[in-house]
Amino acid sequence: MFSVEGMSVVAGRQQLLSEVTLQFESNSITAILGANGAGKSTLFKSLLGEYPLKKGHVRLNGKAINQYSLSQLSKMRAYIAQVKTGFFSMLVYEYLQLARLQYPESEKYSENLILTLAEQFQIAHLLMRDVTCLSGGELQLIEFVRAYLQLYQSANMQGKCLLLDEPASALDIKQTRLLYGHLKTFQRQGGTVIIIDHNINAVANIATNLVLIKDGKLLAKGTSKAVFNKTILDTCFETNGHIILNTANNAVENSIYQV
Amino acid sequence: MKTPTTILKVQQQIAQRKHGFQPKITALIMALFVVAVIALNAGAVDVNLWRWLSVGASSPLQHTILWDIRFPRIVMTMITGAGLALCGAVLQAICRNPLADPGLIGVSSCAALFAGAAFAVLGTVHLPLFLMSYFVPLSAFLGASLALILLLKIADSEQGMNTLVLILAGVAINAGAMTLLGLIQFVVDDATLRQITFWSMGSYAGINYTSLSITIVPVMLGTYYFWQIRHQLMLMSCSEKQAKYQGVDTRKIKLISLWAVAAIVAVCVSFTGIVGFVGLVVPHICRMVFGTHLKVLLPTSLLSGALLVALADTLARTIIIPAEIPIGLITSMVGVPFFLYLIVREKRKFDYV
Repeated sequence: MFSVEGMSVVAGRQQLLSEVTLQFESNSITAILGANGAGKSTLFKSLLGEYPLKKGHVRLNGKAINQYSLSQLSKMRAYIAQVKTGFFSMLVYEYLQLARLQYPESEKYSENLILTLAEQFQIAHLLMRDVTCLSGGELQLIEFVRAYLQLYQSANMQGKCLLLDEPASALDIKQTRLLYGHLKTFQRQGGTVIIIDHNINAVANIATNLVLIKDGKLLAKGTSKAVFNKTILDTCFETNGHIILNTANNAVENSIYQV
Repeated sequence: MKTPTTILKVQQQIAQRKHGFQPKITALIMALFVVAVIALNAGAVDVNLWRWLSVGASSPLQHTILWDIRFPRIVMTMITGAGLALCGAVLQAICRNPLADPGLIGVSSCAALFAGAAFAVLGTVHLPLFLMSYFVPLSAFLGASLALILLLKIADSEQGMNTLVLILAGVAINAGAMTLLGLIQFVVDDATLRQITFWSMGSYAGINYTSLSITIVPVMLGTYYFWQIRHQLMLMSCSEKQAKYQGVDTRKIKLISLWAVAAIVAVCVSFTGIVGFVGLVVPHICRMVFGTHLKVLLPTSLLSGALLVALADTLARTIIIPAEIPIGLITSMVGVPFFLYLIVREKRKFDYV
């Protein structure tokens, strides 16, 4: 799906990322972990094509991302930022309509699509509300549906990627579960999820893969099961913690890293 | 799955909203016609549309006043009013700043500077007659274009256009132009100073079919373009980055929009001087009265701008017959109190910013 080869990013004199090589497989949820300033956001923005790369390539479905048009890219990957502010007032429904801008389809078709998906993701009651009057949690769910609509061509999400930058930072436990549930649904449909989240325990719960970054370099990558251990996490965050295992079963879903 | 009662309700509301703003637009168009008829009948000379209709051209003079003087002038007020208001609405969306208006990016003040310089030149040099009548508009147009080129040189880069840099550059260009204009005003004689002052307050006197047809082209093209990109603009007014990720070529849209805005402002300002206030306030009034979505805001701003300027010009030339009040004063006198009233009324609803 997404692949990064030997990527280096330099801003001024500072080396933000050096020689990062990574693969994000289809049908997976990858969490990017790392301390503040480790280069997570830089990696993210490189995937979005925000920086000119000093070295290396970012490929999407086998083709360098700068060879796609903006419109083509928008149908393959969608970005969800931390809670946004600064909206002009409009209806949630009108906001969601804008996500279908790149698709040549009738208004009736997109209306039906929006309504169906709103029902599916349980936000139908928000459609006629004003975006400026939503809570942070509601807004983030709307953002997810917006991103989903942006990518939607059929229920098969093979070859489509969702990038989320700390989506749960303003959400309570219930909303977080709801959002993560939606991400799982997206993954089951064949999609790729790449997510940054500071709550490593919550995100390791849903992630199939983990990528750990320290000082602009790749520290570790692999399945959650393999990477989520004391030695690696200690090095990554320069802490001394321990892992609590839920003894009911030995799945990663139940291990918690505590400092 | 739940019973889709919410969905049904939402469907109904969508259907209602889809045509909800059409009556308002129809009302605005009707109002525009009424104002046009009133404006055609009002003026220093007692000429009446009804009499012209029933008797035909009663005298060649009356025919000339009605159709060669008043009619192009009224259409010009509507076209420029519409153009300025439209530019304001678009700039506010692009800059994501409610204070943006064509004056802010320095285009109209640069036009004023060059117009002032033209008056100064006319005061000392004798030009052939055909050149004299178009010398000031041409200079103003040159000034407006120069301001835009300068602005784009400063604000545009490979990475895209930084909106904050754009606004700051506009403020700087504004200040520079105003300073130079002050210098010109300081140097010239009293008669020229008076001409410059009147020009910068706006006037629609002496509009003919030539100036009208020059103005109408960019305004029409701009309107068409802005209507085509209304959804993209809407996305950009939420977040420019996100708009780009959603497939909008933000750099191209900004570039073309700014050129369109400058062209519209340049032609509007060139022939009539600065009619201030319309670009800033009309979109705000329309937002409060009709709604913030650009599919509503663009047409209503267009029509309301035309309405406001047409009304203001009619007042300007009828209040103290046979003299004329500068129209810029009227637009402000009519607009400011109304704007203040709306602000006070809607204070708590200022969420759209």
